[in-house]
Amino acid sequence: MRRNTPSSRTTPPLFVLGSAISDFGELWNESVISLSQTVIDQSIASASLRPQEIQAVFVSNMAANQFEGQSHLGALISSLFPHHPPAFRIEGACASGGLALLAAEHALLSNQYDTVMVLGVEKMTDLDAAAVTDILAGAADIHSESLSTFPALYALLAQAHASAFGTTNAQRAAVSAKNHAYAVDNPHAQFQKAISVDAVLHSPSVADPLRLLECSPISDGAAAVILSTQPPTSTHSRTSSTEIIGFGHGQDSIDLASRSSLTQFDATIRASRAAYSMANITPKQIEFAEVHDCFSIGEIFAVEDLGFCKKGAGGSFAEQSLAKQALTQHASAQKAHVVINRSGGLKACGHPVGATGVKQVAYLSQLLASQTQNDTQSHIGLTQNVGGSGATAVVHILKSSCMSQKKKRKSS
Amino acid sequence: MTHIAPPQYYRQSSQWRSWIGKTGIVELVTTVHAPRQNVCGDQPYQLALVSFPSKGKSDIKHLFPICLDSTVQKGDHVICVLRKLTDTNENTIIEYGIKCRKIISQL
Repeated sequence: MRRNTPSSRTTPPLFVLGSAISDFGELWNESVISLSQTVIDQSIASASLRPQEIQAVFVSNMAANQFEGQSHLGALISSLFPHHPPAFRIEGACASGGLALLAAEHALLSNQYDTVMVLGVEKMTDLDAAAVTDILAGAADIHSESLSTFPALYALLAQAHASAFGTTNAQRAAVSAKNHAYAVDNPHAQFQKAISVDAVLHSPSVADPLRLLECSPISDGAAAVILSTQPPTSTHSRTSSTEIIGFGHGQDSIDLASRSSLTQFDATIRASRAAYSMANITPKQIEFAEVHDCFSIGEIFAVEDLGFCKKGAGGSFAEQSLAKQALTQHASAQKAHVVINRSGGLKACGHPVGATGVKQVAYLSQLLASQTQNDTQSHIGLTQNVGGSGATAVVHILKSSCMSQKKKRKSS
Repeated sequence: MTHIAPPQYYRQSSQWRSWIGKTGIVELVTTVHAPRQNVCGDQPYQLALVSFPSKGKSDIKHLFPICLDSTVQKGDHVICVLRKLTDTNENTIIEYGIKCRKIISQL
């Protein structure tokens, strides 16, 4: 078992060479294949690589076999490359993307491969909402949580948090309002439209106390990142590089009733502790975080479990984050506080479940790189990807740096 | 003609026996307004986290749907009963499972 001392990282660098995110939304003209082809082409182009340099593909997908009747995703995606690289399909409900990244990282760190692609894809909108709800409910314990839906499970968590800490409906609604505001300038987001706290509070009830505008949508979409143990190729356009400097994986009981606490996700706490330790940083050093707001209460749990605020203060943190978003599209003001879900999160950017964990890392790597290109400073961000009602959690920490000439790999 | 699934019933029956007749207290409850397919005739239904006393040990907690003819709130006493879980039609398998019903009179 790899152990990381608090004082130093023991892993070799894992570079994010390239990334791509498709449009998210109800994309009737797109299929699993066309979405995948889009992000394969764009990510390879962004990395200035040839397709043949991808040595393996890790495909994240939850339920293409149920949504579309398509199994054997690894082979399907491998067929989109000219050289048919080895491909694996990884499933962990909504945390499939995070787990696929971990699998890729393990393969890279074991020196099995130098450069791999992690591709997440999900095509959900060909079925009606009730059928999708049924399929997603398969990520709960189907025997001990019969007739449960994910909105219902998160509704119970919201009640538990409200009962313990007084978290209000308006504080949860602030999560949705803030994430929609951020999504306005994300061209890939499913909802590039601002909504008010009042609109959230007056939307139809889905499962008490959660309302429709507190729930992430049913989405189609794909994302890809190219990871490598080799530094980026030298190009005229690239002035920054992004590395994965920490990752962690936590598990907990799949059924809510067996949890030791209903006001936190122990899986997230375990995953984040491992990631912070590997990166040798503290939560205070995180500037941007893409967290798993499948439901509004999910983001409130996340900011507490990741150490961005005190336990029980997630509701007021959400209100402050909304206020800060309204005040600041200015980078200087954003520096005072971690920015949560700049992409719009799952709520407004969309939640094609198999793609989400990969999209979080793809988006964050692009965001950090753009920050570094603007100010030539290093920037640190975090992603948190959750499966089910908190049974699985994966945390990644990324760092962007200004690229020195000696660090660049010569272009072939 | 509706269908049954004998192996499924056989596996589940021991679980059912251990729950039928048990009484507990509702800790958390939500009303599901966006139900799954073929559940409760597309009517809203309740899902509750119920705490069951356990001799000499900490309480056992379990998530159960509430019978449609019963409405519960936090603190209510409930009893476990065997009920159909899903709506049936000519093409579906009859699914049974444990639900909870409110105990009206507590002597």
